Amino acid sequence: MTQILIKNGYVFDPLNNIKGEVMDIAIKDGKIVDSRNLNPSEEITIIDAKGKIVMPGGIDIHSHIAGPKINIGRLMRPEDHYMTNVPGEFPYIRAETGLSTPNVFKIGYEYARMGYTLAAEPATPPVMTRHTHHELNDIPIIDKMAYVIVDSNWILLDLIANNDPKLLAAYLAWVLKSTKTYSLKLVDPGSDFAWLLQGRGLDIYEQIPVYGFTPADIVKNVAEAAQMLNLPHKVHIHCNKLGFPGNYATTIKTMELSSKVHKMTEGPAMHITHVQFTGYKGDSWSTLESGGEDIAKVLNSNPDVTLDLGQVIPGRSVTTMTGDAPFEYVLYHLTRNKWYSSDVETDGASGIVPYKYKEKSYVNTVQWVIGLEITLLVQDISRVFIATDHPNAGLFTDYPLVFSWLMSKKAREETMKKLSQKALKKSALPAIDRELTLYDIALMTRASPAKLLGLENTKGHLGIGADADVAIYDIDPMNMDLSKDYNKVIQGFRKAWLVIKNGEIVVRDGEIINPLVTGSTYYASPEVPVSLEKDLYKAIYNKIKQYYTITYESFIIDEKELLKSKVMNLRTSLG
Amino acid sequence: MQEFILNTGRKTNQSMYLEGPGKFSDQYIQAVSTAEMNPEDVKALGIKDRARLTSKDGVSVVVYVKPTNRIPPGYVFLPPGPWANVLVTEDTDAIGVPSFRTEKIIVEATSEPVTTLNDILKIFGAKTLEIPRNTDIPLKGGEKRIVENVVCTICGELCDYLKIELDGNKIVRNIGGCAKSVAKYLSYHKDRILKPYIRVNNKLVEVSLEEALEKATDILVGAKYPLIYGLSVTNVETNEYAIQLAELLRGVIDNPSTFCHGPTSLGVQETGGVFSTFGDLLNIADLVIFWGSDPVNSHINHLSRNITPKGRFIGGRKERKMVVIDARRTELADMADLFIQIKPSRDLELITALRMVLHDLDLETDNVAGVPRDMVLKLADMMASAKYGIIMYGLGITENGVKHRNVEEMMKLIQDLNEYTKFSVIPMRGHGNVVGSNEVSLWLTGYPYAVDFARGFPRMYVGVTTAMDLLINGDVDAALIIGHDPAASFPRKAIQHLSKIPVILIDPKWSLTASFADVIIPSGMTGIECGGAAYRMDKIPIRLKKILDPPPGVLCDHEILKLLIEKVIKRKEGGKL
Amino acid sequence: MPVNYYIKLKDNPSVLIDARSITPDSFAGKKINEILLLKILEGGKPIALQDLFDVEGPSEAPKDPGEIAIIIEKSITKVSFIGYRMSKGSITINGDAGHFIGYKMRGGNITIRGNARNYLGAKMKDGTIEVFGNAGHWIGAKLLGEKPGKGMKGGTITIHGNAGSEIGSGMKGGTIIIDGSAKNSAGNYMTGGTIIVKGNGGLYPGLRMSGGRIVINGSVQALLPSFYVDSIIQPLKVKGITFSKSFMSFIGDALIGGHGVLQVSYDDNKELLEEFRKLLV
Repeated sequence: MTQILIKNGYVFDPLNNIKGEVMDIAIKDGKIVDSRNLNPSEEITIIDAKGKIVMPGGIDIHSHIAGPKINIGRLMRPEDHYMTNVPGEFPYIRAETGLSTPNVFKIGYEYARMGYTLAAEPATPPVMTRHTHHELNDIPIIDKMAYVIVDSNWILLDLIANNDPKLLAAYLAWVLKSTKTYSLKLVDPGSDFAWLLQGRGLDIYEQIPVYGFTPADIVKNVAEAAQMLNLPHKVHIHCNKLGFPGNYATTIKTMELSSKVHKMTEGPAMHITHVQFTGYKGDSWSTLESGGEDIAKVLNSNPDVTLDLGQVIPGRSVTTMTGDAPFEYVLYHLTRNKWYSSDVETDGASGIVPYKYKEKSYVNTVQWVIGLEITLLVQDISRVFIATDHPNAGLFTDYPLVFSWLMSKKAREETMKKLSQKALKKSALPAIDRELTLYDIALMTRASPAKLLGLENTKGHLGIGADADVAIYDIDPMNMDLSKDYNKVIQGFRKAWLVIKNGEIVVRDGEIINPLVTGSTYYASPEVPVSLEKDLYKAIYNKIKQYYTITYESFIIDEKELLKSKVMNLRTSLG
Repeated sequence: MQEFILNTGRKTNQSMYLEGPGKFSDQYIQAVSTAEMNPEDVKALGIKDRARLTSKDGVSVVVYVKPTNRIPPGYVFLPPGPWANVLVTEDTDAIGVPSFRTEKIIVEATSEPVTTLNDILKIFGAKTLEIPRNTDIPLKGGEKRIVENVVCTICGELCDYLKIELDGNKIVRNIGGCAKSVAKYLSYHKDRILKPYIRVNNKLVEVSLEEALEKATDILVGAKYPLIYGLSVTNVETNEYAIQLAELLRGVIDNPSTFCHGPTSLGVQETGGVFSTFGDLLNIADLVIFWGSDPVNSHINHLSRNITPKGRFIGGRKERKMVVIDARRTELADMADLFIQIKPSRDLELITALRMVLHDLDLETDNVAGVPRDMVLKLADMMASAKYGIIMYGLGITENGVKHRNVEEMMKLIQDLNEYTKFSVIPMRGHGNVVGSNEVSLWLTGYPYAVDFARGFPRMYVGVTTAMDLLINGDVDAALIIGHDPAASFPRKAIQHLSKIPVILIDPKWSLTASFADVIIPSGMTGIECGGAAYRMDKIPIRLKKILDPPPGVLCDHEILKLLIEKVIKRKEGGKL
Repeated sequence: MPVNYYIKLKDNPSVLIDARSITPDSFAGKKINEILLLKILEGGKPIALQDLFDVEGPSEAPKDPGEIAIIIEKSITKVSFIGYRMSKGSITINGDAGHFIGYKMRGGNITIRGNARNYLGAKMKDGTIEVFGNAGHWIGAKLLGEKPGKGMKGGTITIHGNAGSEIGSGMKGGTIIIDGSAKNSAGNYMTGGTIIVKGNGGLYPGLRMSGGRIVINGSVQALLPSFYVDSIIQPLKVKGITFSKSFMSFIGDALIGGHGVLQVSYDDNKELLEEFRKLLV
């Protein structure tokens, strides 16, 4: 297999404490190796990365890239495809189409062009997850995974009511294994169930109909089950009251629950996702303010919490798509244009509404400052993750823009000139001078995500033994003022100079040159003792028969249905 | 000579004979050559038992006539099939659908013999009338086994709980399947294509798979704009390969949603919609409305699966209100709590009126599309005060009147109802994996069907890239038909074009299209001999089971397409300098 | 004085042809051999204009497209996208034409002395199109999924024969005149502009229109209850044409608070309009 030697680049590898030193990176048989292990009698491709930075492949922990609602987004937005086409190249490079509702080829190729090599679909309803895997299978080049939505699942709610934590954990293990997913997702916990019966969502301490307990109970029960199951990425939470002015209070209450979770393993207890959407102070849209500072403070004092931004991109036309059906219903009333909503039996619901962030809009500017405030105000940026909740707040191809805002005060100021000055007056952001470094970006987009997903052995670093997923960017930190020349930063990160996946060169000068490299779909397989499995089967078999309209057998996704899979076998404390 | 309107609707025995005895059986031929007319018309025209039907461009067929009160005067109902399609002319509407339900014809009494199938094939210009038929898979008893949870792929219900009993390679019982499903499984071995063929001088000659694939590659690579069509009863993988092939060939690919529920996709493109799955219907819906849909004949297990039984939050049929809205009194209407008869093709008026009531706008006329105003108000009230309502609509909405605008407005009606209560739709999708065909097309190309790659990237323009328009107008110069029988379902001019261009057919069974094929490659039956996955009509994806091996030498559709793709790439690469 | 380019098909094509490079704008300033090498698509095959067409004209085209007249000498039923985005000059087709003729046109004029297929003048910004035969569906329309108002924005389309459905779907401005009859939902989702059908209409003209004006001088198949009857007028004058019949005038579409005007011949629709006439009394 291929041998590659990358010479002379500035290497940024936070997991191995490398902060821009010039060093060689050697690759053989898909792995990073000691350069002395290269076989000189076989061909070695030498890459001279002089004046360029070398990083592990990027990891996106939250991006809506595969599954039923993504496909509905495509159906609902043919106009997103009329003018955004890139012809394919015979024979294997496929045509790309779409901006906020890209086809699978665009997704894979654009991530690869940006030097990202793993992306996580954050919200798949169990009964539909076979669809999610069909799409993940077809996304070229990158590794992938999916988080399964469980918060409004009828069986989960029944089991929480039963108050048997071990059985609940066994059930969640079963869900992960049956759906071949990686982590547990809560979307506006309990709200889709309330939406089904009452047509509205819930705040964190409101009672769930039929059951009486609260979304906070769901959060705590699932977070503790995740501890028992020793999941690499415990629980991924989209907070209640998303989209409502004043909802930052709910977010803070959710974050504070982390201290109540009985921890059994290392690492954070919960992850709050796209916190921008749940970071609003004020009591109406016209009095909206950023809750960024408050959230940053709470993050500082709650070490078991991590969060990602959901960073808004002003001027961007998007297609919002979430499992938060009640929120999308509200957004439909604000936009009065297209709206799709789907109830999914036993598993929740979803909604899709096109939207545009306007530069001069007061509300959209408030939304913009939140993510940046949080990042620049927290003490420990290793617990903050850069994402745009693609395609809800922006596109994943906008990440380089976000990097530039974080690395350059000038970039922020140039953007701020175009936004609502009234909103900026109320924000802490204009006064913040802090500028992140390349190392910080590498930390936030490579090292920390690898750790968050429990993949730090093989991903997110360039040490010996790591998977050979490498990105080289035409950015010269020695000869560029990254703060002043932020446009070069954006360009450099937008189209990588060279990208290696699985030890093969896949991108050169921003062009796909090896479209047939295939990533793996990661899934978790927590170990459950046989006796507990038997109890579980007894408890749920009839429920599945009663609640779902497919057979038990149909529900289970076979490993063979994944094109290329990587299982994470987990020892649990259930024995 | 009085003008009538021809309606080629769907009837149960015709589609049952399709699944069971097959297209060349006496039962099928009898079914599709029998027209139904109102007894008054029959009497007025002096028809004994046969009539000559003539299309507006002067082509005619002789059919049997059966008088029945279920048909209103002025209409002729003929099941979809070759006899009907002789009469369907070249007009297509804005979204590429032929006038299957609005064609004007002339009816005269006659004592001539009913037109034979061969005569019809001659009218269509069939390339060969000699089909090496009556080739069944030899059945041999042996190991007796029962396979549970087999998934039937005939219609959008995708019933995944069939229990199939086998004796060797003989299927002896199908428990759980509806009548169509039983017919399909028990006759899976009948009329099978067992070998590849190439047409030589109007005769089909048996060849090896390699020869057939090579000739197919010749045709595809030599074409400037080939059409790939079919796919809605094949698995997800087949659909993926078919789209890849269309992209490699810079051709165009379409599937039967183009003339069935295409409007459902188009309506969502314009406005979105609110949808549910079967479980929501079963467990909570207290108001179900069937609009332009006849599941008693089209989705036979639908009611017994989803409406009759008790659900988690509702006690079964007794606790649900069932409303049927249709142009004619169907069997389902007889089972409903409320039947609203609406003037044919005028559904949009009723949808509009209902929306107006919900928006507090005055309805100024006494009736709307034949529905009295009081009834409109009553229906609106029923809908707004339901706890969870679901509209299940079918071809009555998508194939009549303003079609995609009907669906678009229906989606808006549902969105309006959500101001008051929970309301959604479940479109009654026809073929077993037509939803899968749309889903695969969407994630690979951004469009649900009628996708063209002439410019190297996907485009969809209804009325231009839709299969009916392309064939009727002769805009394509080759066709690859996968798992479908256009010669039995397309209008005359479309089929006549198939007689002028090279056609490759991949199918498990002998069909009328075989008479137009230049290359025939046998395939296994999806859901019996070939697995994979399919999407139910409510978009839930289900894994298919393989319970038997295909006949020796016969591959599955996706395997055949994979080989074709390899050959096409090799051939095109070789052609490059 | 405009210069003429004569274009003739060498053979009848067997597939759809995409000839969007046949416009005065793409010919402007080019030598004849450059014009002959302009790219077109035969189905999915990229070829040169000269592979399919004979072209006769001056050895060098004027730089101003307004000085260029393109004449296509016979029917080109399978040739589509002619006149794509043209801004000036003229195109005459002495026969039938394919789809998307004058798509996104910005000015100049197109004359078709035969029939046109679908999407004639779709998303047109300005200019004139005249068809002596029939035209298909989606004349002057927007594409599916686009917002209302993304259709035709200006200019005039005249069809001397009959037309199909979805005329002016989502149009914002401009004028469409059909001398013959039209099919279903003319002017659906229009936000402005004028549609005149001198013959009959089909189902539901003006479906969800929010502005603009539709006049149908013949019978219609059905109207929507969301159109409120306003008056009966006689005669009716629109865009310099006078119709001497009496017309019933409606305002709609009420469901979207529309202020569009829909006027249908009262004489040809007496039975259908009887209910509305009673409301006027």
